[in-house]
Amino acid sequence: MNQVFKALADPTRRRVLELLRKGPMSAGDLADHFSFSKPTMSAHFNVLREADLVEAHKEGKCVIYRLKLSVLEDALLGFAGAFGIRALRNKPPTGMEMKAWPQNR
Amino acid sequence: MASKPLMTGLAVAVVLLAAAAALKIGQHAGIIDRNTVESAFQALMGLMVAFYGNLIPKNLGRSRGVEHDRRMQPVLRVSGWAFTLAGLAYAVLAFVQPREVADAAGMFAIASALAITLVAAFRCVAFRDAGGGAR
Repeated sequence: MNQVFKALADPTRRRVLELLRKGPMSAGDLADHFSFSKPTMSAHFNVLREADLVEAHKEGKCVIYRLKLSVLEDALLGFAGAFGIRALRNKPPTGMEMKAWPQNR
Repeated sequence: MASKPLMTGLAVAVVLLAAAAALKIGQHAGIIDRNTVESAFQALMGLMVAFYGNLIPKNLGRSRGVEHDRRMQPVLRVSGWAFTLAGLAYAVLAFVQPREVADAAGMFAIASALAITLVAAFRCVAFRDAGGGAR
């Protein structure tokens, strides 16, 4: 549950989840909605995947992300968005989170 | 090694059986009356429905293409919310309403969740048949 709160604390990750509410999207399409570098986006995707909030699978050369929110997590996402809950500290991604972008794409 | 859903199901079953046994023992010992035992068990059943409803959107299954997954996502979400809320309503009604009203209203809540799920599933199929899912 701690991982879920950590994932939902960041507005970028919440935005990713909101984009995925419309349907599955590729990593590239998701990244196009943000101005961050690809490794940064990749780190965000990894945090979401570790919290089991998204599911990733390969289709051809693309990695497709699907929303995997339970009802409780969906409600938490709604609350976090409504009340603007932000991360208490913005620590840089760890080595594990900083996977190379081409592997994730 | 047993799968996670199987272990979760077994754990839920053990909790339900243990709670039912504890309630029955309490009734025989004269600590709680029969009406309270029935209400508590109805609340437990409602919570179980809510628990499994909560997990419905997480059971994505194997991907069958982006368009298929795009159609299925709202069905899972709507049915998850419907069964979670219906389960919670079923549980709460057991304690705040007289027995007959709680039974009828609880069943109505569960039946409504089922109807909502079926409507969402039919809409998903109709959208596919109408060509909305063409790749």
